[in-house]
Amino acid sequence: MKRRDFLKSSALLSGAAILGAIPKGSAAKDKEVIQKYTELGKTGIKMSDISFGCGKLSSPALVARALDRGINYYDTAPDYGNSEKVLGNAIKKINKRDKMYIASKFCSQSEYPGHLPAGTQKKVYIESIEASLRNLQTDYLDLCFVHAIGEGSGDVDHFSLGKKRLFDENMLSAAETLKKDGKIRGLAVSSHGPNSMDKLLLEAVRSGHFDVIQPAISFMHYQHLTGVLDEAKKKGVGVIAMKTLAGGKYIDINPGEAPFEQAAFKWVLKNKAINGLIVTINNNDQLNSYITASNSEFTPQDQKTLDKYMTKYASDHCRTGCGDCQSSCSKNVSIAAIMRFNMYYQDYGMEKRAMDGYRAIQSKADSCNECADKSCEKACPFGLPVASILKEAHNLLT
Amino acid sequence: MGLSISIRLLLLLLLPVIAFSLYYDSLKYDPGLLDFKQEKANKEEIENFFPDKIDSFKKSDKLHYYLSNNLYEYLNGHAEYFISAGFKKLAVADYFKQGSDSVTPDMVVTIFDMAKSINAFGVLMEEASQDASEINVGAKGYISDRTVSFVNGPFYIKINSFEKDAPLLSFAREVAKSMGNLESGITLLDKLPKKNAVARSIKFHRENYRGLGFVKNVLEQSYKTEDQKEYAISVTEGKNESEVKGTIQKYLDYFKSEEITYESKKYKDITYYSVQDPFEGEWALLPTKTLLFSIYHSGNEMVAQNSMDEIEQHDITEK
Repeated sequence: MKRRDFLKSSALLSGAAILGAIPKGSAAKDKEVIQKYTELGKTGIKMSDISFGCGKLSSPALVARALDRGINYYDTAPDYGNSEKVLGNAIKKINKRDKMYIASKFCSQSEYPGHLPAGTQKKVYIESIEASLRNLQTDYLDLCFVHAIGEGSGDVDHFSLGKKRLFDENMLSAAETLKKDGKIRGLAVSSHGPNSMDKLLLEAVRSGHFDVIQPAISFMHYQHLTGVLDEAKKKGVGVIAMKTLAGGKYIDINPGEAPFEQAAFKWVLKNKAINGLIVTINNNDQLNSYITASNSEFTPQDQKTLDKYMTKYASDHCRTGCGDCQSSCSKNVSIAAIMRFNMYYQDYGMEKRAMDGYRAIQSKADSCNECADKSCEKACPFGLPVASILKEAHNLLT
Repeated sequence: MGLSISIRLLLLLLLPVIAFSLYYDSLKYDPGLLDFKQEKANKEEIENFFPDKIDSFKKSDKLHYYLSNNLYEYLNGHAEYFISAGFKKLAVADYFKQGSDSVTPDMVVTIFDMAKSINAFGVLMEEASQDASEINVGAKGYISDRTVSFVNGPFYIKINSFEKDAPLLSFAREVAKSMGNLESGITLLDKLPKKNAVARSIKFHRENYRGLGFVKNVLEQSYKTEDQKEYAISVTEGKNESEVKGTIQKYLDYFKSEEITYESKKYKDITYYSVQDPFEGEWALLPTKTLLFSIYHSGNEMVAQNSMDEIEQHDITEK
């Protein structure tokens, strides 16, 4: 549906939060707009199915354009460079805060990854959100995330560590205080794995402390999350998908074939337990392209495109959130985390964040250069040449 | 049947000659070898940039070199920023006060080869502290308490002292003198109007300028009128006239596809596009031969035209 038709549709106009979101004098009457808004669990948030990941945000005008096209949910973090400040400029300029949902994270304002660890003082949690509010030039966050649960490496009990972060009394108490003061409206948790993503998210859902979960899920890796998604739906916990492009590597699309990104988004959104997805949008072309997937039916052509991608990359792409290789390395190299930062660098163009993340890893892949042990490759359920990918990643990320 | 023994022997003797010829040929085209030669030449060039003596300070015998694969050893936590900004190599020299037996240097001179002067400039503007004062060294430079930094050609130079009253400025001047006046690609900087410019507000955007994928390598400066009205001016450079025309065409295509209203206007002898943009406010797109200016004036056309006067005055040869 084009925007002109959309504006004619009174039924949609009355139901959609987009109505008030269109700035005066907006352009592009024939452009595609968001077609679907979904209740995000019990949060009261009605989010656009395609939403805006602000990981590389550099332009307030791009946010204004996205809002004009109906995207109403924006995900940022203190450790995403200038993202919060740029989004804050946009919020101020657009002056439609009530038409936008803003999510940020319990992180320090340092370089990525700035996730606050378990045991952080309550006042530090609160101060981190207050700093985010100042950056964002707003009084409240719609969601505040405990970010990247299950991240970490080494021969430790990651499930227990993850649980400590999930149920850190100081964090939960800070969240309560922030809610009471009207500074956050909901508490959420995200995970890219690699450790126990499904188990930790299941714990989060069952605990009743979290309003929303945000797992990494794509057409190449999803089976492990089925139980979590079912449970979230049953408990009324919202689900936002991320990392939906399975690396978003280059693929040749011939005329007549379904575009890759839209196919990947449609695949994720056909799952009724998922309320929406976030994707990094860097420019207007991506905005135009991604939005067309909103409320679109997943077709056999889409499946063909995804099959083509899988054929090309099945033995290259590390499935975010898997982590089966983690315990296989005798040198405790943080295989899955390194694979993810390699993806940020090579496929997402997020060189800085990738290198920041890699630097923070204790067991780096330099030890792979002299290692003949192939246990890591045997442990990979997808048959990836893990050792050579790790060696290449080390060169790239240092 | 077959070849005579003497011919066979001759062919056998020729084998090493053929092998050597192939080997020699491969050396000429081995990119690794070519890179190596180039690297060596550049290394020597940088080496000459460090004066042996500055005031009463003497350079240590050994310079330290870093490439992108080991820059983190020197800039732990900040290497990736330099790499993503175009970093090629870094040379570091320690300077000691004459007669000093300290193992810690008194001054450290770092010269970053950033491949392009625009990259070096981008780093300078990001790195210099807000309270630094501008200095007249290189194409642009700043000095603060214990640091002086400037750009010269594609090089970003940073000099640190461990003492408060160190002769930073003379160090900067001496290093600049050793380097010579390198051609500066950031003459682009001089193209931006000076009137009403907000100090230290220049930003360099490598890609996706204002969310547009086709606009790259842009310098943008903030401005404020006497009555506190804010506006911004940016400039980008094309390799030639046709590249600038190509970018303008992309802008016009974008305006059309987004139904953004624009019109061609004339002010004095200057032709520009006046754009009514629902997301950026009103702005002007002003091409010269190889430059493309954008003036984001939010409806204050007079501000835009005053800026055009200044651009034209400064850049008349471009027309």
